[in-house]
Amino acid sequence: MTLIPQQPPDEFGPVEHLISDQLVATLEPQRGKALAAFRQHVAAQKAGESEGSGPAPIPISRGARGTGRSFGRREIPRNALWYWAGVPSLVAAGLAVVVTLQLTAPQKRVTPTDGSAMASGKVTRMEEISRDVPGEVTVLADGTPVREIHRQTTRQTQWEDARDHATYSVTEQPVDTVNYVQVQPF
Amino acid sequence: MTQDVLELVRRARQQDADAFAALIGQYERSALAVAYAQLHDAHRAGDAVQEAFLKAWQELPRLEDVARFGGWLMQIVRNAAIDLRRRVKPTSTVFPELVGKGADPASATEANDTASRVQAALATLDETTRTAVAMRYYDGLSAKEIAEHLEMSPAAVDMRLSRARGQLKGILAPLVEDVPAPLPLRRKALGETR
Repeated sequence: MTLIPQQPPDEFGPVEHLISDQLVATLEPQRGKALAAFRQHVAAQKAGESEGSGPAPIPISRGARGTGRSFGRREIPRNALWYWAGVPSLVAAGLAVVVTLQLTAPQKRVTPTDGSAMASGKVTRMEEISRDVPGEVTVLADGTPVREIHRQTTRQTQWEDARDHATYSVTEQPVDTVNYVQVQPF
Repeated sequence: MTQDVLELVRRARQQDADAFAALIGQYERSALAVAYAQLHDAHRAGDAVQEAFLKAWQELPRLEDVARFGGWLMQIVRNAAIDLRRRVKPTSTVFPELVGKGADPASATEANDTASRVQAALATLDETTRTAVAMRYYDGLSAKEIAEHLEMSPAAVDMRLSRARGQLKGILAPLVEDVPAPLPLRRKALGETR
């Protein structure tokens, strides 16, 4: 007796056909990409093998100038290599030293009290800026209600040094003075 | 896996490019099914499959059990698809292939709508079941072949396919109510010859 395997029922009803049609329409255009990429990969691999394994090193030849070898072919004479690598590096290092010295050099502080500087120059502008800032209301010892008024004053002096004709400007620390203004009770 | 395919795998392991090209032809649909189940995007699935086959070509000499080639390859495809999903955002969710340039706009819209609904229905399945469904209905693989690719038992694949059919019918039935069912196959006995 031969056992006949039971055939699965035909599962391709309308819904299955719909799914199948959609999947075929969607995925079938993607076929062939992998093979094309693989062929390209193999061709590139073969081309690489025929040229030697790995990327070609940059040849550095010890030669005289004017041999006709161009930089485009990466055949760089050693002297030229030292020149093109060394000179820009030296210039960059020099610039870095100059800039560093400029930034780190102690700057001469000139203030209005610096008599020599002030004496050798002439004041071109001096101005005082003040503003009143209302503060809290307090009661004095005699029972008078008053509001604090803070007057903040800043003075700025500008002058020109006769020696180097540079213009200097100094702003003093603001000064805060408190005044009281009587508050009228109800 | 047939002896022919086994022989191709053995030759490909020796870096025989022609043998590997033949394997690509053999497994490309299944690979697309796996990638599509992950990515829900045909173009990106194509890209993932492309990357996966190149990786498989490089890794193949390290495959010890050639009989496991199908499952091993599908795992590479799945990983490539996951990697691509992380790296690249999806560009389109419709099925542009369905819309021809000269197509009637109404029918094109209807086709896109149908495609979107099928895609949405497939998205309700879990990833393994979706892969099995795509292999079954796109590549036409049997449960045994799907089981080899997914490294599962054929019974488990059958169970998943059966459940998926029920679920998909429930969702997609309204789309096919107007479509007549395919005619049953008719067999005609022409007599016997001795």
